[in-house]
Amino acid sequence: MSVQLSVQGLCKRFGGVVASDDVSFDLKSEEHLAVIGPNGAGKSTLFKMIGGQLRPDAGQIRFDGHDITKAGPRAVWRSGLGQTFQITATFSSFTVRENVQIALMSLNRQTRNLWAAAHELHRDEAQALIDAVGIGDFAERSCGVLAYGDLKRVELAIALASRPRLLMMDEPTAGMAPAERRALMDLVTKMARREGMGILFTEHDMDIVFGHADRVLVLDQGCIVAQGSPDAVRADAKVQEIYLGTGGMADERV
Amino acid sequence: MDFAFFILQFLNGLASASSLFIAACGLSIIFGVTRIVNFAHGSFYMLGAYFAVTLAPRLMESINPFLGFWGGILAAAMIVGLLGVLMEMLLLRRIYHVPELFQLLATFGVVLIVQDLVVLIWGPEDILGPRAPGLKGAVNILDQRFPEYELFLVAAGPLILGAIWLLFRKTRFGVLVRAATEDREMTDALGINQKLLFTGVLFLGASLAGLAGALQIPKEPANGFMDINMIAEAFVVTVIGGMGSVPGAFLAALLIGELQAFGILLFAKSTLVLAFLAMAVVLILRPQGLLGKPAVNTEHSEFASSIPLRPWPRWLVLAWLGAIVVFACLPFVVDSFTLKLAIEVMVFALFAMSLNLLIGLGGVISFGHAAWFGVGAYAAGLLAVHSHSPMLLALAAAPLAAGVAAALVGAFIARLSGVYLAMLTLAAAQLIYAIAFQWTGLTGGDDGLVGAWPDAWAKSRVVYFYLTLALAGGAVFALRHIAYAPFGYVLRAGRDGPARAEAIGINVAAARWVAFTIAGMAAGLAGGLYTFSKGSIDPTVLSIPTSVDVLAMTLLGGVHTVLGPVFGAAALHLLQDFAMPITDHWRLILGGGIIAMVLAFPEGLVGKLRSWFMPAEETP
Repeated sequence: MSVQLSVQGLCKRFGGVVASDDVSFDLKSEEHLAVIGPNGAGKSTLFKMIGGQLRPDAGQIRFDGHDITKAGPRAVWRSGLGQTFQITATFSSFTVRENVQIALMSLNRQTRNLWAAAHELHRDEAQALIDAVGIGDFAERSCGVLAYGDLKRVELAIALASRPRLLMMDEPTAGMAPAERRALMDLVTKMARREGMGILFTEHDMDIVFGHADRVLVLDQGCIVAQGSPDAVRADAKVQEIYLGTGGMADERV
Repeated sequence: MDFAFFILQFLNGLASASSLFIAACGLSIIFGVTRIVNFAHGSFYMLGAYFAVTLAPRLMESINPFLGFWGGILAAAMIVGLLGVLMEMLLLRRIYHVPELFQLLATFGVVLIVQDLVVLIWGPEDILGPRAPGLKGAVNILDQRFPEYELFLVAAGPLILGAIWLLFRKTRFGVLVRAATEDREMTDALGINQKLLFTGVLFLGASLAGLAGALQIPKEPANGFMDINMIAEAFVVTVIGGMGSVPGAFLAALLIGELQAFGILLFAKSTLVLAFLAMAVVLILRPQGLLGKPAVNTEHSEFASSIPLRPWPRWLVLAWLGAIVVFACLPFVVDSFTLKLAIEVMVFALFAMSLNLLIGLGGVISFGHAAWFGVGAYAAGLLAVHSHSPMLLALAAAPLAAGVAAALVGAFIARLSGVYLAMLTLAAAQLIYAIAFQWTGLTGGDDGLVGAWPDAWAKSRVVYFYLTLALAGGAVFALRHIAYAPFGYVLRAGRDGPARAEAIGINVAAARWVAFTIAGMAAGLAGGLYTFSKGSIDPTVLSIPTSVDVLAMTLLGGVHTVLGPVFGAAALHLLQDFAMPITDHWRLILGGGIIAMVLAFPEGLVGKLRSWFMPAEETP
């Protein structure tokens, strides 16, 4: 399989804190890669650099052969990399369906349109997407009044609207009940396998990580300390040391 | 320019820098701790001057001139400080957690109230103050005479800076002020008595403003314009220095003071323009100001809403059609005076709708929206009066000129957010105001332009009524249409979740810039229609009170409603029209009304009605 995302020597510091220290890894196309590590390990910083929200101090990020190191979030999205945020971000004054419709309007470059009735644009396609993530019945509800777990699904549908080739999710199941977490991740992995989409995600729930990732990458204090198959990482002495210090792997909860 | 003159001009600059610094640093301290941009800071300054001209002469007579004068100055500062405490306890405490725009408006309500109270207590005439005993003369510097009092002022600024520095370093109160400015949540979490801290900060800030006003009395009489004149400059100084930074305010005051001292030699009439240009340059290069910390980007605007924009139900469409038909029949039933009122209501309805495109949909707080109304009004007026253009041509030029002006300003400020954007829009409006006021040859200055009457075919008020109905009404519904179009959704997306919007390819700053331009055009059309309805135009259409009026209209109608501002404009304009002839205290009523509105129903009239009549969103 070819390399889809290539991260080389990524560095980022905030004042005296090194959030990312020479981070390098590859993600092959259609691969599901999990990034784990204790709080403050630099997972969100890494994701923000890939997503274009943060500019790295040094290093290079290539996606599908294109250098996206200096690209902003808009360009990264257009290049085919979708993302969901650690803190759920949906448009609170939009209905569930409209949240997906706006992503489709942007994809079709209709953001300057002053005339069309936005409510009707891409309605069916948006409905299909929210049906797929299991919130089709809430289509007309305002996102401002939705439960947290459902908002996570809305956000997923927004990210999927552009049919990304790689989906990047920062703690997609944070704040959800355990059963709901597994259901959501099962859904995402199943859709990804069907569409041939790669996944890069962080997660604190180790059952989710080891149940859904093809490969695991361990960050600690901005450095990659281990990477490999879930079983290999689970057996890694350094990883156990890091996690035993914070209370054991399987019990890690946010 | 010889050397002695240069030195003297420099000293003049230092003196005005000192005055500016003392006036502005309190504003910055109050903002740093409470995050409230206190419009009433100018009122504190004015009250300081009024208390000083009242107290100082009496004390000078009863005690002795020296102690009496300085005692009067200090007493004035203390009284104003106590008034600051009163305002904190009665008003600010209730609005620390409401959106910035409401805070600005509420404190502007205080400005209006104080203006009327000052006239009630001290009368409308300027009051001359005594001169400072022992500092009445002048000293010789390089064979030039320089007033002793100015020399004293040169020293006063650094002295106050030093005193504040000591207060902030050596006292527990000062340490807490610095801590709260640095990280308010942290001081909150550490269990510090916030109420006491905030009250103390208001005392400090207000008494500094009072002191600055009191120190002015040997130089200028206490007068009713001191508040607005000062607040615009204090905004500039705090923004250039960095909001919340006292040393920054000092640096900025030096910059502005010297810029004005030497700028007056180059452009005698446009010192205000220079100050605003300096602010624009600093903010473009360093958006957080000289010594300010970069603003923490909030994930969503304070104006984010959870109310979706639903297509209108059939009954509402029919109700609107009916209302328009009834309105269009007005000329058959009402007299000419009422018709004039109806024309003005339509003009202000369009003006308020244009502002709501920015505030309601975009979450962009524009505090100087009068600028675009004024540019449109002047563009139409200038064409009609100076080149006798046909009215329709002048009316077409109004939105174009305002759109171009708004696009130019918007290009610089659309990427900013929050209070910086609010203050910069205000600054832009004041800049345009200054041009209209000072370019007498073109604009007629204070007197404005007269004789901009409609062409012969539209001379009849009935015809002009229908013309306004067609143009303003058409524009209002065009703006409504935009809200439901993809662009309207894009604006709201940028308001509700800018980071999410960027991550789905939406250029939020560019969308805001386009909105700025469209809103400017619509306001400009309203301005053009206003000119021909009055037959004349003067700089008050560009002034801060006009910006506040339109804000009040928009908020009264409700920012999260589509056509609410139309009702807000109608309600406020009619109220103003009925109330003004029967009371001398309109500003008192308006100010009190604005404060009551912010405290009682921030969702606006139509928002309130909707929550009554439309079924609420149920939670799943």
